[in-house]
Amino acid sequence: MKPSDYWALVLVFALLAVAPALAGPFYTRLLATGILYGTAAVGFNVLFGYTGLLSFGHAMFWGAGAYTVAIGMVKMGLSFPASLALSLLVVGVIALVTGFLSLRHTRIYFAMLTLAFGQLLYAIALKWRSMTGADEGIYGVPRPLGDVVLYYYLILGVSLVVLLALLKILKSPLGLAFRSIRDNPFRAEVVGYPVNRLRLLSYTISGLATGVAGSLYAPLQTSVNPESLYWTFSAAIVFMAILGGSRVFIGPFIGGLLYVFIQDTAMGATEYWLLATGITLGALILLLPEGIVGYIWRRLGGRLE
Amino acid sequence: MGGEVGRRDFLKIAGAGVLGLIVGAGVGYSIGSRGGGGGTETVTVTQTAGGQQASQQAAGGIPGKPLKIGYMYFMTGPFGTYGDMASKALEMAAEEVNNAGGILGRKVELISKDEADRERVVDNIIKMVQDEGAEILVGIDSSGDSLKLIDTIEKELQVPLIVTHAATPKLTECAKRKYIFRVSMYEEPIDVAAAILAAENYPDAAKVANIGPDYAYGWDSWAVFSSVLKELRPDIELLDPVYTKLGTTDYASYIDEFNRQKPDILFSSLWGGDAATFFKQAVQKGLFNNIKAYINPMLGATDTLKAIGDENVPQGGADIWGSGRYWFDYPPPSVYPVNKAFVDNFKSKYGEYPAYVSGTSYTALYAIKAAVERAYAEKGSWPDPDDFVKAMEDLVVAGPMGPVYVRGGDHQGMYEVYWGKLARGGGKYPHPILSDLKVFSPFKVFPEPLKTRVEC
Amino acid sequence: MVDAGFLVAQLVNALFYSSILFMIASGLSLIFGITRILNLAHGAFYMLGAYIMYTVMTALPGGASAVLGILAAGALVALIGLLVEAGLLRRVYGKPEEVQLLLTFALILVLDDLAKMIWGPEYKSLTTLPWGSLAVGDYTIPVYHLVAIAVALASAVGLWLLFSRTTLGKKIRASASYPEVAEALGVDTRRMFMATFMLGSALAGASGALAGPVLTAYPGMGTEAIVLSFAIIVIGGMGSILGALAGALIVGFTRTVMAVVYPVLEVALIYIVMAIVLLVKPTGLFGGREVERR
Repeated sequence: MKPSDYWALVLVFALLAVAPALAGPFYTRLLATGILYGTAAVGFNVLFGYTGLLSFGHAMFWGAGAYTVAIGMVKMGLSFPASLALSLLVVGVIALVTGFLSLRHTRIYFAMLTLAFGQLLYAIALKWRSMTGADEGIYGVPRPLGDVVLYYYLILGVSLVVLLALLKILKSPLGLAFRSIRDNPFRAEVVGYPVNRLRLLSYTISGLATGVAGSLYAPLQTSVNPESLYWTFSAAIVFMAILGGSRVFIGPFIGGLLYVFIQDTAMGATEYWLLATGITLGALILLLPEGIVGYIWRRLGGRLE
Repeated sequence: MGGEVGRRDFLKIAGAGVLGLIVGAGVGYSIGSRGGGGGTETVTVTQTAGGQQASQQAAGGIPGKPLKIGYMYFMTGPFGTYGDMASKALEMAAEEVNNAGGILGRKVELISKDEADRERVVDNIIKMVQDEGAEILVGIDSSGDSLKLIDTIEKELQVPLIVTHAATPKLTECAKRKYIFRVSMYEEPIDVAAAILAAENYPDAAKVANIGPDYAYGWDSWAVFSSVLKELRPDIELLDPVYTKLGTTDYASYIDEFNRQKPDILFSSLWGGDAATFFKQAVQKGLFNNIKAYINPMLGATDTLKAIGDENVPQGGADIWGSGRYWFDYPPPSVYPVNKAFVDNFKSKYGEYPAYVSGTSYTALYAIKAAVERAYAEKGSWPDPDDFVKAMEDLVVAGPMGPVYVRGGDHQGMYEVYWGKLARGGGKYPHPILSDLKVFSPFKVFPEPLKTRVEC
Repeated sequence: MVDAGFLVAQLVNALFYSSILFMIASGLSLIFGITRILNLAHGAFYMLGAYIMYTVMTALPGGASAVLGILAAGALVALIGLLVEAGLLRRVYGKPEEVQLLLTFALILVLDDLAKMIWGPEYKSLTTLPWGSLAVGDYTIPVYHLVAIAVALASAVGLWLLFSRTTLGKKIRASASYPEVAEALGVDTRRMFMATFMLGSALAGASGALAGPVLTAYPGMGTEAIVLSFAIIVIGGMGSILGALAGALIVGFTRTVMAVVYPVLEVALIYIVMAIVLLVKPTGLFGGREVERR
């Protein structure tokens, strides 16, 4: 049987649903982080893998989501669902504005513009002390359901909903339009697609998905810091997508999970974990550009994007 | 050795200055002893150097496995030297304690995580406790990290954390934490002392300027320093403070602006590489010929002093004042054996002088030992986290920096603040040093518990 | 209260800072212009230059060793550039940019940790500046700053001569613009790319060496530099040496003026300028008429 996106999703989430029974509290928590990283990377990949635009600023959606939930719950006294709704609104607005400006360009210029907007948001978070707590960030964010394992299932449920929605979009005519822009924007334009508006739509959907993941991360950590907006985290999201494989829907999700565990292991094993991370990343790009899931997928006879 | 000393005695000790007391009392290792006093007034003073202390033998209620203590510092990256110097002292302390039989017979085993992994600070703290079995935590360099760990420690883990470096007042002074303690000096007393120093030594100063890092630490330091100075010298003019991005490499334009403004006093909370870079550029641009005093609360860090180098210490010109959380030459090793033993052992083991983070992390391990032993004396079994917390409160530990009194009211370690003038190491020391130390009693410069000038 | 000495001192400050920025950004821009690779690890090359300068100047103090240090840094970093180009980047020419960006990002992590292994994690202070200083009223201008400005100026003129007056320069340009034609005319484009990469790396190394005695070397110092160089070549136009010069002067002077006038906006203004330039003239002030492939 050839692998399918839906069955892969069901299998992975079924495994994740039973995982807390086997993992201790720490590894359950680590998995929760991995699920959120993975969801953020899948969101990133809607733009990158399916629409052909490399963003080097996705940390801005992750961070904006995390900050808005933290501000909503700690500073405004809102409930978690209300904060989450507010966070979607804020991330959506940021995506529309930065998308409108950045999408006047493509390729490397687009990558650098997203990086610049990401850094601008980072600079704002560092300066706007009354709202963001500057470098100290916001701490004491209450965790819905309190317990880590219960919250794990909330994260798992929300992530599943987000991924199913994204998959549905990508399988729809809209998804086909994204792909045709990715493959040949000139032809897409000739065929009659409103290329610029579709790119903005893809950018916004992508940003919202990453933003939801970030929003759920703040209560998991009970805090949020400017690092969540820094450009190296944007690079990490790109790394996750490539690690898992940007040409399979589930690839970046697995990439996010793997990233968390690789980092956890590399740090424990060596003082020079940056070196180890760098070599892993370099080797992966040169030797396995389709990513780990992409490779397995192809060997199983699945179709790559 | 070790002994008991009344809390009032400590107050006297600290009030009079450690030096006077130790010399005056003429005792060697223990600071003073008084039989049982009883009740809450009694605190344990533990001698911290060397391994002569005879531990109680393992008895009932003491786990057979080693005591795992987890620490977290910046081990890599530009701040990696902090973790390096702190962990060396922790390893040394653990070795000493283990050679003397451990804590109540339990060997100490250290495990660690790198704070430089910015995304995983919270996760790694949890990992040490839940996955690797740490019973007590030590460390934390960054103030931001210390704050974001509050909920994790207090609600999720409920395991004691002894902070040895992060210096934001908010950690201990905005609310009383249950499981979090800090045995290292925090920002505020050093800044208060700086203001007193400035007011007393430069009565004619008319203008004061500031250059600090552009984040909470820089803003708070200037807020405390300038407000206290203004109370002492209402007529003094405060120039608009300058804040620079962390990691700024070119200060020339700020320096020439100071050369133009000619403030009498320049206060600077720049630290680490930034402090060294600014300092060297200030020397190159002749700033110290245009001002009377340069006051930097973080100048007394050995890594910064090394980076500045002897050849950059100006001869003549402005007075250059530095402070820190511990200075290896104070209390003078010649009269304070705890510090002498610490510095000598550290030097012979690692070939360099201890940094201030070495002094504070070393103290943390002995504070743990003292608290466990104190709790055991009361209860007769190994303390659970709540017993441990109770034993840490109002504890006095003789650290390399002198006796440290861990206030019950805010879990903050209290000890003397020093300010010294920058001088060349001149071959005797491998880097510039602080000399002509001015020492401030903690009771003069520490605010009351849970009262801070910084906005919570 | 603003006297002539103050203005002269600040002018030298701005020019010195612009010089360092120009040296590093022109190398980055040159490499991108010819090979189409945006080398994120260029900042790490700059860091290596500063460390090499540190090593040379602590071994033999004095004015001559400063000259030696700059030359050594340029040469050694060019050699490292050669290894990186031949060993890694040659495999990804023409590949998608995320591959190139991530590979050079990986290189930053590796080089930062290698620097830590060799020189240790702590800040490396370079010794005092050679050649003394000039006094202008209350202000002190180190001669070293003037020398650095002269070196940067000489580099700019040298690059201009190389690309407008020499056969080698023309061959390099041809290899980038018309590779097939160049090959047909007997130009070894691979060697031209290699030469470009070495030249760009040498500029980063020399820039680090020039900055070294004034600034402080530490693992990771390149990250700050690379983000600024980014802004410079985007403002000036990617691939343009003149653009790198203009961008470096804009960033250098913006910072110097803002530091005195309104420090709050000092860093943000550079990004704002960059965003405006990108929106108005996507190819930068002096960028070519390169058509964006969509």
